Amino acid sequence: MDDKLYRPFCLSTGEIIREMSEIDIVGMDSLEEESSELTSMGISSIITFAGARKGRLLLDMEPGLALSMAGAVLGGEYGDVKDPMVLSLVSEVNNIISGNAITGINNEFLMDLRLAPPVVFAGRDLVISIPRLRSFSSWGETEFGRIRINVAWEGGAS
Amino acid sequence: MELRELKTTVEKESTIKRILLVDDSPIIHKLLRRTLEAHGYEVCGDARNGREAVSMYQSLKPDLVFMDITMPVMDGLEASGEILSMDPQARIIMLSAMGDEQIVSRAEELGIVNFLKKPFNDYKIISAISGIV
Repeated sequence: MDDKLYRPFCLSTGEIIREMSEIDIVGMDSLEEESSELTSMGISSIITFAGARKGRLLLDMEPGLALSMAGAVLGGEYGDVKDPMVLSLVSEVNNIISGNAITGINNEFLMDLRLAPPVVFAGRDLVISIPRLRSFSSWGETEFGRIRINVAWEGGAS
Repeated sequence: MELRELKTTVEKESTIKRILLVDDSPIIHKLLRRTLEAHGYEVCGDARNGREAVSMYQSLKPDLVFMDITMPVMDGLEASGEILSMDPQARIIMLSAMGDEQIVSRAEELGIVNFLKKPFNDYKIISAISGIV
């Protein structure tokens, strides 16, 4: 695995979530290859990127974390992950995480990658049906729940 | 410079009052509106894509536009190009999650006055406005 195409997403996830919501993530410092189907922990967002190569980032988290992030960023209290503002927030957080990671990758490798608008969905244990690609996940913990990112590149991991 | 001091300077010197927001995320509209209205600006329109932005620019004639890049229908760079070809004096600040060298230089070629990366805070937004007054 070429670490330089995966690691930026781990770093960006921790930095962006801390900057936007002041929530710290513990972990998310290693990547493991996924060997089984991906199932949602509660709320998930997928963003694809394309240029010299194609890839995607899945951002997945437990409901408690999504609701706490919404409260911290938007103010007020949120009790339902299907609230449009909560869904929209997770989607935008994924957009910003991906944009920051891709900016670094573009500057270093001149891959001219561009993002597509993200999709988001809510529901625990949903099987996330996405094209079968070799992918790597990184897990983190927060005081409000777990978070995972899963990164895949077409053409393999190098 | 402190945010309060910056705000006073901008208020004194600014000809910018009415601002058009362009982003496909309702979260960004909500956060930007909160920041701008708290500092005395009027958000005169909310566009969700580049095509809407071009149309609303023509009808609303805002003093400033905050423009995202990645949007459906028409992206922010294309929309900025159309707006600046209609009105070369248009003031547009890019506000995007993407900020690689190629995109920033394309924005500069178009005549974009400032380029901000998301996420943002009040200071970043008000500083960017102060930079163009």
